[in-house]
Amino acid sequence: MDSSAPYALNSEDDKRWKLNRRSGKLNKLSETFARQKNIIFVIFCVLFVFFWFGSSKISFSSASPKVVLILAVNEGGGVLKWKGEQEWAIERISIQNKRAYAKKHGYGLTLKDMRTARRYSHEYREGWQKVEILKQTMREFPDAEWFWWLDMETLIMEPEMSLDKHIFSRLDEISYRMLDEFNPLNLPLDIPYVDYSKPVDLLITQDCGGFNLGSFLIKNSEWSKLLLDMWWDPVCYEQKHMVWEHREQDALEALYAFQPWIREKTAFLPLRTINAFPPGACSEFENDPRFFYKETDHDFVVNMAGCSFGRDCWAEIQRYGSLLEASNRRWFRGLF
Amino acid sequence: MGLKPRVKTPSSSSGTRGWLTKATDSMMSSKQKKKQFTSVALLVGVVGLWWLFGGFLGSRSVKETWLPALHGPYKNEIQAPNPLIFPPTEHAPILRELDVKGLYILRIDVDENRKYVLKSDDEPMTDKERAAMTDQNKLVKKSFLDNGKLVYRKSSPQPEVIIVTMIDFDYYDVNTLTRIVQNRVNYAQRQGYGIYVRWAQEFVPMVEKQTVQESYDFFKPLIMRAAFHAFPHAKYFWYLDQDSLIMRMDLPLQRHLLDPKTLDVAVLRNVPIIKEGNIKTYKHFSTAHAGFILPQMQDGELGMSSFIIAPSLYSKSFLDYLSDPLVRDFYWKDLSSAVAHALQWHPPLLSRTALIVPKTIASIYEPGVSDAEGQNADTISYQEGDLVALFQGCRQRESCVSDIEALFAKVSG
Repeated sequence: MDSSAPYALNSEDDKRWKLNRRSGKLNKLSETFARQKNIIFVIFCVLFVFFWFGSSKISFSSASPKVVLILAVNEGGGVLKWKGEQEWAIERISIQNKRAYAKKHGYGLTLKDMRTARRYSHEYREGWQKVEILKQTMREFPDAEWFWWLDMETLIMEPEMSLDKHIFSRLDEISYRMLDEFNPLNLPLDIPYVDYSKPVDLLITQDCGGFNLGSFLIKNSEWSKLLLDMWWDPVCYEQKHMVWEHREQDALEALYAFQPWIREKTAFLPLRTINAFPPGACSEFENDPRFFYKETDHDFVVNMAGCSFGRDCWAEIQRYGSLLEASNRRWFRGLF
Repeated sequence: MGLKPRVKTPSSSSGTRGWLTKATDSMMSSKQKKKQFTSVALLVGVVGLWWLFGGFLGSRSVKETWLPALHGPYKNEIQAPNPLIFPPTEHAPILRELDVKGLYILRIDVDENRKYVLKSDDEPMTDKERAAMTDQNKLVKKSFLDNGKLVYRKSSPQPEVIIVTMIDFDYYDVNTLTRIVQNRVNYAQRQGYGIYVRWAQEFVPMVEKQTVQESYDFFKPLIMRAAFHAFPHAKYFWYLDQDSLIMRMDLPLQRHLLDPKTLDVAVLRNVPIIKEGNIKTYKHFSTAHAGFILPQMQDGELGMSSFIIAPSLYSKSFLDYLSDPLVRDFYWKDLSSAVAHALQWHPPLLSRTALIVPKTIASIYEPGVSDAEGQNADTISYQEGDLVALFQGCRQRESCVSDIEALFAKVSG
């Protein structure tokens, strides 16, 4: 054994040596790791503490959101009539939907209470609520760029789609600023002193009956703040409160019709981009494909507008909720 | 070899590291590595090209939408040769003869509503047409309609201040109208300002109550907006009523009032906007933000015969608000009460409004009262040395023409 041992041993040493040379780099790395382990441990601890216990102010990831979703909840608030079980459920589904969406894309989400309040009960002040909530939210998020108002009876049907990809990056393509093609209110098409070269600060939609503010985007700008201030004026409202049944919507229509400084910064999105309707809304136009949610086209948002007026909100939200779940089902969900 | 103790030395071949390298080594020869590298490079290249061309294709597919260019009530515009825009006052007698009904189309709808309408695509008269035109009435009418199409787009001279005046051919004769305009022209030329004078009758079809008597006050926001459009680079627009004259040719408005330090002295802080009103002007008003400069007259009313506006988002919004038919047709006493309402209800507008002492741009001329005797000589009445003489109340006295004549002689003599 001894006589043959050197060779055999040598060959084994040789092999080992070869192996060591190959893994040399890795070894070096692990060597440095071993030497610096104390420092690395300290760094790890610091990071751990940051991510685990650190307040959101310290951490690097939660810069103030560029887009803030405003969700109007608790409409009526059970002040004038009881809030039923289904209403609670609808609210929960709607909030959950927006929360998941905002979290996924790093947007902010703020829930705003729309309960009936005495201060808005006078006929001249009805509908001031939305405007005041917007003003308040702008103060709350001074660094946000855009605010997206959503009524409660809305569902985001394509949670994967970011607003940047869906709207802001192709704004020129999808938005329109002249009402020459679709003008349900027969507003004047062209008024003096409108400078259309100005960038857009307000993105709204039109349904079969005119402007729809169930889902709209407003930029955080000087212009927007002034608009929110001028939107409500007792002189206009005193003359029109019997006619303007859609309150702030009608008021905005009137402003858009005659005031060029408002018109030049307003653009329209097709209803189905951020505010598609279920068949029940705008029912007299049921053959018009411009208004209604279409599953195969993957419309972004569905808005059960006016479902509490003689339609079944609960059934509608269940229907779209199950659609949402089916279309966003992941393959691995089956495993659990 | 038997079991070996785990020794942490770099030469140790046992442990996971050795196993890992062995595995990767056996999986990949150097040839394979090369192959993998090229395939990855190819993939990156293809994706990069796709992205590049995709970007090009994407930008090409953006649909070209047609949007109307910025325009005034008339779609066609005429370039003014100099910053002094005013109508030929010698047309006044013929215009008076033609009257509003001869100048505009009257449209009567099914409900028997009669309304004068403005033809927004009216073509301006060319020099050729002007030379060929023999009918004097037609010429006068055409030049009346072309007056509103004038805009100043030259880069020099670039006047900072524009004096805006609206003249009424029904109330004044040619001589008085000429004096009013000449007075503005003299001042503007001396100070390097621009002027923007229009016939009041030009605004009749733009409102609902279509007479000068009823709507003269609400023509003011309209003419200011038109002036903004005609002089897009001017910094200040000074509305000065026709019943007034500028009395100090040597006094530039900037030094007299607009300089923030001077304005600071003239500003009224913490005063009620309307008489005995609860809402007051801001205590800490910064004159650098002043977008509207309105004199507050002695009775606490806002003077709308002489005021200054700096064009901005806020001033456009203010003027558009006042010109909104819903606001305009409310039963206001006058423009001043509409403005006071807006200031009380809209803090963003109030925070940019400077109420000033009337002596600065709105001294009131009282005929027959000598300077020293005047009751309110220090606060409101016109005294020699004041910039402006307003002939407020001259219509009731029926002395407008003689007042203007007297003071015009003084200032140009």
